[in-house]
Amino acid sequence: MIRHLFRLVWNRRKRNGLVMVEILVSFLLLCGISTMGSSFLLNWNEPMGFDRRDVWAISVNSGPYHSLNEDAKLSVRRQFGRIEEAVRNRPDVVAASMQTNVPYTNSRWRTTFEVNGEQVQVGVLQATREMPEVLRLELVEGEFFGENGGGEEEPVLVTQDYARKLFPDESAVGRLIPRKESDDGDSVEDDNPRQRIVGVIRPYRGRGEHRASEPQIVRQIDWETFRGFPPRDLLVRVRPGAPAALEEELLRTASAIAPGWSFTLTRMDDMRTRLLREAMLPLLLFAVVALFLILMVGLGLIGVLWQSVIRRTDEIGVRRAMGATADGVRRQLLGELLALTSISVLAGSVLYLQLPFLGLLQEPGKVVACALGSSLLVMYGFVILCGLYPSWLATRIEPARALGYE
Amino acid sequence: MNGPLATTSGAPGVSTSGPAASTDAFAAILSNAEKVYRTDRIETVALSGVNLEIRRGEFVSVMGPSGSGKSTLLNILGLLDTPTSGRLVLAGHEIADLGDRELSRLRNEIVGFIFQTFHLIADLNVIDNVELPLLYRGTGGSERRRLAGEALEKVGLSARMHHFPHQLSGGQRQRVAIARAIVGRPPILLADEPTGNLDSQMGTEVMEILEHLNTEEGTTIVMVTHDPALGERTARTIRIFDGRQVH
Amino acid sequence: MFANYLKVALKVLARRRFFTFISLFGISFTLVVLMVLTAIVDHVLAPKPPQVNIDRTLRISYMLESGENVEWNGEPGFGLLDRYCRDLPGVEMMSIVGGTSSVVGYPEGRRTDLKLRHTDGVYWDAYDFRFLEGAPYTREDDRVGRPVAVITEAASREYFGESPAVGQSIALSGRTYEVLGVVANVSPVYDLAYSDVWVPIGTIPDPSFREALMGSFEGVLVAESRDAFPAIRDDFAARLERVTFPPEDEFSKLEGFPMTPIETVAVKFFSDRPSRNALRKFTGMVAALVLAFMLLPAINLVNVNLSRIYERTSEIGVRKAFGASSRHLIHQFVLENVVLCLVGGVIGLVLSAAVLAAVNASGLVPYAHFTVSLRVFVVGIALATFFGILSGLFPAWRMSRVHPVAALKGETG
Repeated sequence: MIRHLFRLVWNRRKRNGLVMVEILVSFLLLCGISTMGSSFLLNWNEPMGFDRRDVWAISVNSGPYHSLNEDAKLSVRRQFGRIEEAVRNRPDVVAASMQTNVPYTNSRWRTTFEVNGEQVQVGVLQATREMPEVLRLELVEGEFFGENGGGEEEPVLVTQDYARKLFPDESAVGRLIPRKESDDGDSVEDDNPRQRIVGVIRPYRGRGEHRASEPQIVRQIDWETFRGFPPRDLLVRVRPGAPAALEEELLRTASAIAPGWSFTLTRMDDMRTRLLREAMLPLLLFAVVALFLILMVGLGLIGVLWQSVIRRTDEIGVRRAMGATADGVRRQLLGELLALTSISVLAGSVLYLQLPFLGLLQEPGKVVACALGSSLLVMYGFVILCGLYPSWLATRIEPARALGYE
Repeated sequence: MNGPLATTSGAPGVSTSGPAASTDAFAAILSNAEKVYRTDRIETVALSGVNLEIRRGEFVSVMGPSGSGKSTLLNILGLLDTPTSGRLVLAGHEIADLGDRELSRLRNEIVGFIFQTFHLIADLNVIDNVELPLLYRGTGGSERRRLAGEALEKVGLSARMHHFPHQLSGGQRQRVAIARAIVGRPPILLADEPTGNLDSQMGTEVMEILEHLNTEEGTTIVMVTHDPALGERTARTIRIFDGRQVH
Repeated sequence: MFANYLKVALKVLARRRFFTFISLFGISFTLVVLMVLTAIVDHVLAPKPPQVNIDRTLRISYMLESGENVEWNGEPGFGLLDRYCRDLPGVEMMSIVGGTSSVVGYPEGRRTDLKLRHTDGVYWDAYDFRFLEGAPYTREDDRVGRPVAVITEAASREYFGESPAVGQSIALSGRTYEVLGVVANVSPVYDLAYSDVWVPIGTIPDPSFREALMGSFEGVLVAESRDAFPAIRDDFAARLERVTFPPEDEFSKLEGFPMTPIETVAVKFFSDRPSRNALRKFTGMVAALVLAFMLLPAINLVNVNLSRIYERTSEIGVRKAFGASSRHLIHQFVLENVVLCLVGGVIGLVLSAAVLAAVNASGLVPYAHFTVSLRVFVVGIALATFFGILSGLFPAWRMSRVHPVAALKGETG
């Protein structure tokens, strides 16, 4: 019977061709939505690796830094240190630290490391001493930074996902991070101290609930010796239920130290809401458009099937005359539809699976599998739904009338 | 469109080739016509070695059992189908290797069709249906109306101009179809079982109209029929059996 | 001929309502999406207050500074604009505009987030804001760095309630300004015209930005007319050659050109080198996306049309028998499809207006007032026609190919 169905579909390939193309395109569209959806859902329930509650972010605008001379740069950095200290000493403040790769922002420092032949994007989170306390990072093993970060070797924290990549089989604590091999031989890094891992923390998902974690290396900043581009955000952990007046007080404290600079305070809860909304909106728009497109395809499919039942009245009459039951006719029409869908969906799956292989889709296999699975389920379910009414119509054809059909 | 072919007078058309004198007297000359349908594996011979000469102003009936090829013959005469081999001269025109546009133009000007199942366009009312051939001839709107009105008058349906096909009886529909066939004054009318779907009284009515067109207006008519009684009413009967002409 | 086709087209539409509904659903939905986008683009780029001069505006907003091993893409600095870009030929006025930054204020202890933009005094001539109260700050205010501000109606209400704002002072992120004027609210889609608070560039305390070649400013050039654009660009290019770099600087070259607002969008989208090709690349990409989006609706409509050939075979046969050539039939069916699409276009237009009204009411884009303008209407009709031809040609071709003999028997082959 199944071969019979496929043969029917194949013999009508010219007539069915465009319907198959339509199902194929819809299927790819479905894959698109469900990839985004799966990625969103699968990430959503993962632990964040930090605690955003009662954290406020003060962004410090100190004017251009890049164009200053070394002395001026140092004095700006010392100002940063003084502001941190002053804010830290306010009542109701638990901890305060300036850092890069602030959660729920889109800006982040990263660098590419080659680890065991694989290119890994690693976020470089630079922060001062109290940062683990501000974000309540969870230690998996080892310890946080000590009182100062100087010395021959630089103590660093790495996230668990990075640690596993670097040292798959053993504990990363106490190990040195392998040197980055540079293209031109003499690397700028050579005069940097070697980095020794002192602690491993949980994967850090600073980019938001909807995104996967990204390996991070956490470097401790010493304002005196810092080189490069300093962080501009001061993260403050306040006591739960700290009054709103504290916001203004903190800003005044900071302004008192650096009157020329401007400061903006945002609660991390608000940053999160804003980022998620910004991430959701395009997704939502895309989903709505896609939904309408699929609905349109469904209506079109009902129309095409309906018309084809009318066109095939004769054939259906013959089948009935030769002993097919009404139910058999219905099953046959749905079967044909499924055979047709299977061909399209197979082609679609092959096309879709090219994306991760070609590196155009960088989602973990779990997401791809989940997306493909749900797309298949939805596609088949949807097609059957579209076929119900036309195939019911076919069962209403009476063999006697059908054969006399003009 | 120009050309004297639109008239029913016996004036010679602009012959595309051949000795005009010998073909002028004939509405259609078919010599050694063969029609073979080919699919991937099967060849079906629908017509074979058919020779036919139909004089201008003749009323000819074509008879034969179903599947004998009489419809194929009619389709070839009506330029709806082309013979696989053989020569066809229609109203002085040598029909060979013509493109879609030329064939369409000749169909429009030389022949008028009447079908067993009427084939009126359901979405158009009577007058719009009748106008159809003039539309493809590029005749102006008011002229179309006038000619269509005249044609409807000839079949006695002037009163039903603005009805739709589904509001008419079978006989009325066929009369509309006849009006449509003659509105462009083609020299040849081709009728495929024109009474096949009608009861005998309506059939007689239709037949009378055809005879009237033949005798009064000199229109050449080729009619396919099953009905020996109708066959006898025509001047000549061509019998087809198994794709061959039987004399 | 045309009237006859039209008559049949409308009849066919009215006959099988479900099929007509399917077709119209797809068409109008497709056109709604495209027309809403058109309306938004039209709204953003139309010369309406405050951006009355947008059609004769060029912007210096994206530069590439490079040296031997370094490249820096970004906005030009104040120094470049101030020292090298003044008095370009054909330019009526040039305004130097800073980006917006977030500032916080605490009126009556209530936290309020606002956007603040630094501008020069010319800004108020280059753009036409509707002042509800007071007046803008002047070039002199900017020169001396007077701490004054223009704020929007919404900001004024937030800080001063119903009482007049002019003359009052407003504290923002630790700095205090005197309010000089209140303007009507501006939607963020108006790019450089958008902000909640405007203050003179002269109020920036640290003067180091005044020399910088790269930074966070943009030059808005209001030309005498569009005809002056090429000359302005040529002269700008010549001036870039003359730029001197600080001796210790690792950079030695500046590239860029004054762009039309749409070119700015294109260049920033690719955030690549400021290339003259960006606009072409961008339009190509948008066109490709539009076509890709139209693909599925088009296939859908083609499928529905093809399956409807069946019920029209008799008509096709008759028309052929009475002298319709394939070309006639193609014309007829394409026209029918275009009529269908135009009906869908009109429905789409009405729905678009509804969607835009909903977007306006939702506050998704604050203070935006998107409408279906005449231009959107024309684009909509053009899109509908294009879509009609696109999706009508193939079924029409298939219909015209139906063999008349088969058609009269009721077969479609």
